[in-house]
Amino acid sequence: MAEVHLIGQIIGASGFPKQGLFCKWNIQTGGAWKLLQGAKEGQTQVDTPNIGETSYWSHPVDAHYATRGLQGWPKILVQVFHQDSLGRNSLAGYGFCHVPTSPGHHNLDIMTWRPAGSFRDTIVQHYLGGSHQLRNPELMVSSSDRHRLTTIAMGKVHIQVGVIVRNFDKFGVEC
Amino acid sequence: MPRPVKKLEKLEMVESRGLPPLKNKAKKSVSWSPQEKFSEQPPKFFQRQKSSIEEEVQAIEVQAEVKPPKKTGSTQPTPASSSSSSSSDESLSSDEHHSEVRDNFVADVSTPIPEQPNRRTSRIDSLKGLGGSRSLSRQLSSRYVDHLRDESAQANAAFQEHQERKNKRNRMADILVQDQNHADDDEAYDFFTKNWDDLGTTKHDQEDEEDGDEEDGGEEAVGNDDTKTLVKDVIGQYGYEWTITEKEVKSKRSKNADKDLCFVPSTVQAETNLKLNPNEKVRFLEEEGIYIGDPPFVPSRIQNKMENRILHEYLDGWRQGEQKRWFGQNGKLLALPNPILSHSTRPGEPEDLDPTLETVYCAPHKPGPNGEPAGTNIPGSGLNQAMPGLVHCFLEVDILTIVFHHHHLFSLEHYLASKLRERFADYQEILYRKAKLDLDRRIRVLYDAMTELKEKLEIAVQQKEREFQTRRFESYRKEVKVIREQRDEESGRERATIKEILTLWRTMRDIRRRQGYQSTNLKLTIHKENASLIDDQTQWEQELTREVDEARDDYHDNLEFLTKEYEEELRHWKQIHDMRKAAYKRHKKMKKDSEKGIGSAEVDEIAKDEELLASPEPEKPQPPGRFDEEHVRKMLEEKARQTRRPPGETILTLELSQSSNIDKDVQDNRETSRRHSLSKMKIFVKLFFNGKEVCQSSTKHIGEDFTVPIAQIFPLQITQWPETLKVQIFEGTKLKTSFLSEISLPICESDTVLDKADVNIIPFQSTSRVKHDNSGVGSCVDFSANGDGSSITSQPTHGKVFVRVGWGRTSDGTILSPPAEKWSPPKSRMYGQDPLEDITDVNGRIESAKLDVWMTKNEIDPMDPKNQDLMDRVLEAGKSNVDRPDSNDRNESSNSGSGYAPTLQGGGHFRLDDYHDQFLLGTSSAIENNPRFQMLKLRSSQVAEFKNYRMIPINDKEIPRGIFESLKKPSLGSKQGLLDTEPLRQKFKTYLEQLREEVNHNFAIARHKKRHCDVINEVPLPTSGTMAMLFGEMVPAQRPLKPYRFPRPKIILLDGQDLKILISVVRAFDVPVRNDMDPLQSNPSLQGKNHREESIHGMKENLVRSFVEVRFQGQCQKTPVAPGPNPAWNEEIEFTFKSPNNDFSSDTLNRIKDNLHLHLFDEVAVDMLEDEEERPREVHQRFERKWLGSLAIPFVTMYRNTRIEGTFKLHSPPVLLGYERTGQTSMASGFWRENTDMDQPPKEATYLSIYLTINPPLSNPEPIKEKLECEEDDNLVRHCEKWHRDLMSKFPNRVFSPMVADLTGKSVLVTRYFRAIRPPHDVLENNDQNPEKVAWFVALIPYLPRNALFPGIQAIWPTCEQFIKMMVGSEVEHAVLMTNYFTSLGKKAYLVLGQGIPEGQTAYVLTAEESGQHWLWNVVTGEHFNTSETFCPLVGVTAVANESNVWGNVQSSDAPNRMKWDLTNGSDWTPLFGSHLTLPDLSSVQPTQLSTSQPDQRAATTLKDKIEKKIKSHISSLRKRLKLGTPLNFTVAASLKRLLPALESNRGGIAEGRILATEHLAELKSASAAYKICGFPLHFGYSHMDQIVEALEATGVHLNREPGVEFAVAVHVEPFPQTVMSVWIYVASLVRRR
Repeated sequence: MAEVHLIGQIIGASGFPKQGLFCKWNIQTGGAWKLLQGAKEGQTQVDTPNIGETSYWSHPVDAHYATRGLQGWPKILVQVFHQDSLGRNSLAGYGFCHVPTSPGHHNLDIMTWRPAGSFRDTIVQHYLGGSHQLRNPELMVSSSDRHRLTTIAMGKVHIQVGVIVRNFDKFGVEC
Repeated sequence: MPRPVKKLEKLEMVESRGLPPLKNKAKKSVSWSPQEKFSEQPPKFFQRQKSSIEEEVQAIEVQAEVKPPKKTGSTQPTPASSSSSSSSDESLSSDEHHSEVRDNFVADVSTPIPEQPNRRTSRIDSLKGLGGSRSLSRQLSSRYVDHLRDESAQANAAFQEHQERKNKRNRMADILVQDQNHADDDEAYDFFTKNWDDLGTTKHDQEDEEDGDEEDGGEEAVGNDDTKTLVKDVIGQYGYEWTITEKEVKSKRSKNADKDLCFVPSTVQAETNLKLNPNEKVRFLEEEGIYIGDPPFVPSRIQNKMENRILHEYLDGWRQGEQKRWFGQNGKLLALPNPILSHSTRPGEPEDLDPTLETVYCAPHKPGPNGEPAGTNIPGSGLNQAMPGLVHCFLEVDILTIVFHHHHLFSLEHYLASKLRERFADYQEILYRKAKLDLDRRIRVLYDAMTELKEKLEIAVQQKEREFQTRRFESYRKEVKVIREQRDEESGRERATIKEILTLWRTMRDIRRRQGYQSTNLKLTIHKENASLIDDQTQWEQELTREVDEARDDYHDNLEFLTKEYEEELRHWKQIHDMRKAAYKRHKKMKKDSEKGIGSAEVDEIAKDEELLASPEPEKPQPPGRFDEEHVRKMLEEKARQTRRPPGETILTLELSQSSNIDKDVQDNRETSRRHSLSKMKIFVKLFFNGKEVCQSSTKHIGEDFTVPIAQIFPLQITQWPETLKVQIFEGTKLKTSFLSEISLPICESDTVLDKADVNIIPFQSTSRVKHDNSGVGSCVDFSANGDGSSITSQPTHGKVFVRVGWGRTSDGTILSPPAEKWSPPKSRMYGQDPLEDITDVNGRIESAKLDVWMTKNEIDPMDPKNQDLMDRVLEAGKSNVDRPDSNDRNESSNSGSGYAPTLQGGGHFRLDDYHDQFLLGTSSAIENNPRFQMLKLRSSQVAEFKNYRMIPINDKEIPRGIFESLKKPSLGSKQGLLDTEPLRQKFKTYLEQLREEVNHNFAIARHKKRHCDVINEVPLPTSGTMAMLFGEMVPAQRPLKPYRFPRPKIILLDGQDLKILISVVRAFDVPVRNDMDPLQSNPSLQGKNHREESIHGMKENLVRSFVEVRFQGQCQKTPVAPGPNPAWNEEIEFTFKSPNNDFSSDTLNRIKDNLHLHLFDEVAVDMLEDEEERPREVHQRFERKWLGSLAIPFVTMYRNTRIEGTFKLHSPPVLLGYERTGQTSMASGFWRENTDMDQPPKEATYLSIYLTINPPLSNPEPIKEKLECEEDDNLVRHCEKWHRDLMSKFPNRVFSPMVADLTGKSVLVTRYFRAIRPPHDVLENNDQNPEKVAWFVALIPYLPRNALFPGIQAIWPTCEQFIKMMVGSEVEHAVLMTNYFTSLGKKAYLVLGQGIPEGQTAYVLTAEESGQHWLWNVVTGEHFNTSETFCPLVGVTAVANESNVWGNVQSSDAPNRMKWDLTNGSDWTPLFGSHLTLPDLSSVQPTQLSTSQPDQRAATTLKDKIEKKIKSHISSLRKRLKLGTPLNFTVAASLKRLLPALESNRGGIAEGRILATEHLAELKSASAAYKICGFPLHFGYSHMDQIVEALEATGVHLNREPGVEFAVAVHVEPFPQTVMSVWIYVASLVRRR
């Protein structure tokens, strides 16, 4: 059966309006994929950069999948959270990207967004903190319409991932 | 005159644009017959019959032809004459109309006078328009062109004249207005208020005065008769025209003009008959099952209008047989199905946001103390959130009834009744469907239509029409066939169902009669209705004839095709036949040739021929037979007999009622017992909200009719968004309940109140297998459905639940539900985009049964071509379901077997995305069965056997076979039972496995709760104190004479490093010396060697040359030989530790079960010189080793302690044949303390001094501390912690926390573990209060080091009950059990925790003896020591505990012999409970009594035999390897056997070794006369066969190479309660004395 290794790291995030970020990540795959080894989800530490605006997490990602189909190729989901000075967490952005299908080393930037609330919510957020979150986080990856959703673009999450594929050529898939 | 002409053209254009399909004919008819105003009298027109319509039309046409000449003829027409020229009522009607119009006008006019001129213009306009339309209407007839010209010329003239007049009048009006302007207020008022009639007249009056001629015309404009003058004046040549113009001019309104001129279709529905062809009948195709889409919606008014118009215009066309049709056969306008979708495909802007898109405001939150992850988990769990601000929501669930359709307590009668009910429901449905489909009628209609068509065909002349009709006829025929088939099927089904019902009923009646009672109340009533035979007969005949006719037609149609086919086949056959003939000939010839030996042939040809001849000759095709009418008729009749009611058969109507009664008094025992258990059987349900159990209903009895009225409303106040609502049904008697089934309830919309909620009927099914001894048939159990052994069937318990779900309501009517805009039922939210959710099963496949329901629910029209694809698949799915009843099995195989799964996988379901599977690279089982993947997964899931694999081969081939077999063992082991090699402890083993799993699970959870300090290692900043120490280290104390051991830093071993084990064997004390009891010993010549040694040492005791052999992991090293009973070796030995898979993680190291064995041997040199003569010159000796004792140190102990140092007691047998101890020697050597209590006899034991360490030292994992849950009082816990901390700060190496972990991963105060438990009865026979016996029993329970018991987890204290069930444990378990037993014997017993050798951290039991001494009991060996003894294996005491307190050792020394044992002394012992806190009343975790099984003598005997056999075979196999034989001596064995029970009764004779030895020697006296005996008894608390074998092998008994050596083996097994076995083995090697 074909196998895919994902070896890499979540380097960090940049372009977020606030510092003190951490990230929950998750690799989502279709039903034909079986995780053989490694973690498919995790949470990074909170990074508060002293210099520059990039938060570095350098969180290792190492997952080994076996698959019996191309459907549901793994995608990396990230949820960036912001931890404020009081130690409270609030959402800073959602984002996802597909794992590259070609083997090799890849640098990926995941653009993130967060849902915008109403004007009142914005005021509340400004003074009290907190964030708007999706009630159904499935929406992050589902291809259903989001056309009523208003979002605010947030920063990028940088990911480095090496993809190793095996046995795909046996099935006539050239990666 | 160009202008008016132009205008006319313009009008024409407008006209043609506005009403394109209208043709002149229509207008003609209108203009010619103004009396036919549809608006006034349409029904009259339409209601006429066909013929009358035709007459009418003809009449109209005649009229039209007649009239024009009349018009042309009358040159000076007047209105009067024109009106008189038409019929009298015509004129009347026009007059009426006329006046009416005028009235209207008068009433309408509200404009003042200045308007008048405009009025005139409009009049002229309309006039022109009129002319236009008129001219238009006649543009085709050329003869009117001239008229037209004249007319327009006249009109122009008139117009000019008119214009002049108008101008004049305008002028007048201006003057008038000016006058009016000057008028006073009254007049002004009048101007606006006065009726303009009056004004008009006054004005006209004025005009009259001014312009006499004109005033007439002015009046004419208003008045009735005035027109005449005007018309007369202006135009007026053709009288017929004037009649119309006159009206128009008068009405002055274009609308009215249109009304007369144009045809306004009626809005009343047109007669259906008119719309159809005269020879057609109304047909409703829809009813006949032909798909007709919904036509687009048109308001009926408009549609009627359109229809009427079409009718009007095309009526003639149809009559003449025009092809174009406007109306369908149902009399409606032909229309395509509505192309507009009812819903928008492009998403609009919905009012409310899609719930999936909803965002929630989350207040910022701080992670909790345990640092749980922030936010919601990504995959879908975010829904389970508390509802913000919505606390007052009440969800009410009303569970009404549960009805069982089958239950295991169903009697046969019940089963039949349930079946009957089911069948009856089918029957009713069939009846309903029959009525609905009305196939009979449809077929009749089709027949009629066909007959008609046939007639038409006969009369049809035109080729085209013939063809068309034939086509129609064909299609009808097909349709008839289909419908007939359908009807036959339906009626066949009905008949079958009726039959089935009747059979069931009969069986049921029979059963009732047979058993003599009735347990159901069902009753079937059969109504009979006699049918008339003659009618039926005729109908039957008719039908048959028709069918035969059709069959004949079919045959003729097919004949041509069949003939062709036949010819083709025949030709083919002939070809083959010829070929065969030729081949045969050749073959024959060849045979002859070969016989004669001449000729040659190609090999290929021969082969071909043979092949041809070998294949069977194809059958000659048969020509298509003739149509055999008789045969066909017979067949059809046969078929009809099966499906239709034969003529004359009574018509049956069935009725099922519940009228009869259930018999109460039943004599049958089985039935009474069934009823009894039924009356005890109770049902209750549990309600789960969002997966959590919330309520449980009261228990209800199952009624006799198997309906359970639960009738309970569960109001749930919810604080979470409702997601799932489940009901679990349980049944059972008082003591035993069993789970039946689980069903999910739909959650209602937020506006549904319980009272208004629909009752949901939810089916359930239970797969559990229940069998009864009573007359209940059981569930999933085979039983005979007829009660007579035939038709075996089985049924699972199933039924239906009637339930309502709704939201609660307050008293004032507010619905307590979450607001609809915030919440919608989970289905629509979660699966809003997926309508398939309803119909797919768990695997994502669509179930046809569910699909059917779904289709009926959603009213999917099966005839709609759009649904064709779906219907095909459903049909196919249904078909295969019937074809393959074993679809389940096949489905599995097809799923896993092929990569290209077909659309239909097995029966009963299909996939919508059937191509999906084609993209798969393989099957899921391929992944699951792949050994490499399996291994990877097992490794990552930390399965013990695999977690330490560093490398997993990249190819499947490289993975060793059978590697996964160890995983499958547990499941097999539980079933094997007695067949297993270790049946004795199987039960305990499985229990231990379970426990281990549980513990691992519990502690895995505990271990994951990481604290900050667990993750981050913060080096503490130097404080002033540490700084001072730092300086102190710089200037170390100069004490060269006091050696100082530098602590080596403990490290975590990394790859590539070797772990070394260093052993320094220093010396031994009290080694037994040779004491050969050879009666001939006095003869020194025979014992040359002994003699020499004797001569060397001069002492008999020194006759021992011992060495130590160290074995570890198959490596073996030994020290040199040192002579004497107290040898000193000072030898250093080094081993390299090999870890499995090169893994040096602490977890792995903790699991290693390898032991380091130290064996003490005596090296005996055996003289091999045969010839005494050569002795002075040659030395020929062989060294032999004799086992003296051994010591085993587990690796884990070394690992945990890093360094083991001290003098250990060797494990030696109580009797060593051929050796004796010289205790005095050791006494004399001064190693004993002088003040040893002489009351105690000195221990008969050998001691070995060693120093043992591992290099590099390894760090141990930190034990789990303070992370465990705790159920103790907070205060108590704090106190314990403080006590522990205080103790630790003073004595860092004495670590003991009074809180210990139990198996569930919770902290428990240690005192709870103590409670007096009575030892098993069999241990203490005759109320013998001998503690040694108890200790012996406890020591016999197999021992496992701490780490091996629960690998990777330290300091778990199982309770005694768990320990007894596991039948294996570490020191602590033994010690706790022993303490509890001792307490029950009335002793003062304590648990002592401390350092022991060799096991390290250990537990002993301390008892206060009556003599004032304190004894320490080794729990693993059962020995006891006086606290004052020197060589006590307990070397350090940390704490002492019993049920009332815990005492920490605060004395400067922790060696037992240097300690004070007065626990009340506060300066020596610090108690946990004392002045600060008294011991709270805590319940013990121990039970008051342990249930143990009886000693099993039989098992003991079996075990004995087994061990004996094993030992013998093992020794022989070992010797075989050395190429030596193993003769057994049974005489000695028998005497040895006699000795063993004594050993047992002396409990190993720990104290009386010397006495025993003498006894043994006496017993073996006769034997020893003949043999030199070297042997010893070994003792084990039986745990495993390997342990015995291993120990035996280590003694090296088998290594005796003396020629003619014999062996004697004896085994004794003493059974104890709870399968504890004491095993004694006596092994001896015998060498015949020369």
